[in-house]
Amino acid sequence: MMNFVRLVWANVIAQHKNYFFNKSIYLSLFIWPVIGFINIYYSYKPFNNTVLLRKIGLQHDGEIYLYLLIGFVAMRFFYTLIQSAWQSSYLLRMSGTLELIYMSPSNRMGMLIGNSIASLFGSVWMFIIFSVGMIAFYRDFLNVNILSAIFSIILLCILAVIWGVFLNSLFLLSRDSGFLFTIFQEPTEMFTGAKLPFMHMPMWAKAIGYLFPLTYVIIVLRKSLMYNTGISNLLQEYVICILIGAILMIVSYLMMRAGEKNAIKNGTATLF
Amino acid sequence: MIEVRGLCKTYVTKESKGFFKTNKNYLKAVDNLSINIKKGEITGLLGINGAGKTTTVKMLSTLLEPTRGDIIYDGMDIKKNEKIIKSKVNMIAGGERMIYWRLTAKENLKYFGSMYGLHGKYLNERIDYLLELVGLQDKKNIPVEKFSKGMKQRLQIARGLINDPDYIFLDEPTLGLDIQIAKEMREFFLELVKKQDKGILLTTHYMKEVEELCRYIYILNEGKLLTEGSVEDITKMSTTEDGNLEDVLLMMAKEVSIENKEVI
Repeated sequence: MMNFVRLVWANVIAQHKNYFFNKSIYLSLFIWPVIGFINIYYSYKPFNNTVLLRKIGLQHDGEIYLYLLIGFVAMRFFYTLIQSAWQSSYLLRMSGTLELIYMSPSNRMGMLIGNSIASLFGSVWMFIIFSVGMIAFYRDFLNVNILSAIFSIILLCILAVIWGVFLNSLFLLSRDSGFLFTIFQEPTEMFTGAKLPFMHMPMWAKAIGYLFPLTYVIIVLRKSLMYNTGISNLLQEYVICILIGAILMIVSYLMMRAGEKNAIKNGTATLF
Repeated sequence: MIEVRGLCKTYVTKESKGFFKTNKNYLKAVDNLSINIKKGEITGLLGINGAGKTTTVKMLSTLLEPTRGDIIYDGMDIKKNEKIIKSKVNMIAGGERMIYWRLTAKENLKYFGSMYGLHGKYLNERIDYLLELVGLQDKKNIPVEKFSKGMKQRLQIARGLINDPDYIFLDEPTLGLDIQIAKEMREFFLELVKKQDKGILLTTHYMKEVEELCRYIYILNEGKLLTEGSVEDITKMSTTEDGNLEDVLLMMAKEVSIENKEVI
């Protein structure tokens, strides 16, 4: 177990140093999400939001921005991993280090988890600081259930890491899986309820949204932070989150195995 | 000792015939190869481009699955003991890949050491020892992207020795290095064999390197073993007066090419 943890940590450090080699990257990590949020903010601002507020059970105008901010922060956790997973698999192939990993007796899941953790926390911490500041600004509209909020935030982190593992294994499966980048990127933003209230989306959009773990995470985060909903009332959503996480881990493991088997059979680990 | 018996590798490639149709092509890269690699000596695997050298090295290092044949490491079948064998081998290739350029020399070795379950004091000591060995101790905290080609190659060697492997595969390890560094590398490999009893398989296009390092060589062409023997015995096959290994290799490749044309 300790060896596995050390391996995960070694990958976290290596990937972090590979991607965050220049301090200007941190500026970009901060600016782009903030611009994204400002974009959403001003998309809603010109309209009379009274109807929307009533539909999602809120009272004040400020609440809608807190509602959007929570969705947007959670979305950034997942969104950032799509890009970094693709970059990471490309770097592994291009630098020839994927061959060295396959040649070693190391646990491959350790590598995937380490990559995912490094990408996630390296990419979102600047935005988290901004978001905490914004949430503090809108604190009057918070209606937090502390216990379920803590549980929901932990769930957000774990599910985002698992999402990263899933994407990393997908990109390892085939070097031509770059098209999945588009398939995952837009729906993550559009159909998970990050920018629009999920329950008021059309049925077909909901059907797509239900496939993404982010959808459930946004629901539990908003309910625990804004509607004072306790763990017992969120049990169903939590169970779904855990189930989806478990399924994603199993699928990731199988894809990772299939990717390695295919590379060892055809000698494709060095192709990029 | 590594015993290789009847090793074959056939690659399947797809050739596009219009938008919907693809044809499968079969390329026999290694054909019924049998070789031995002993500890305490450097064995050479020679041949012109496309002879099957790198494919063989990859199969021996568990990076490629053979289509047929057996690879036995110190009495252990590679198929049944893959994990144990993976911890006993490593590969050093020429060129500037297989290391992370944005990491320092020390960080690279730490990362690759962790792949073999090494950690703590032992890993740090091993890193210091290897960096000292390859002459990079005072450059250990510099990102690899700032290294010269020779320094990168030396780091590759340290990386290839991080798990203290019993067998090392050298795939054109002095590719692109100047004569001074290449000479240093050769001396280093000889020391590894003599002092640490490593078993080394060397593939290279530099015949001088083979003459200087290898005790026994195998010559491949189009995946098949053409001949084997000591460097002296093979050199004697040369038809020229001041015969050398290069002449023999060229002569053999030419003969095979003529035979193939006659068959066609």
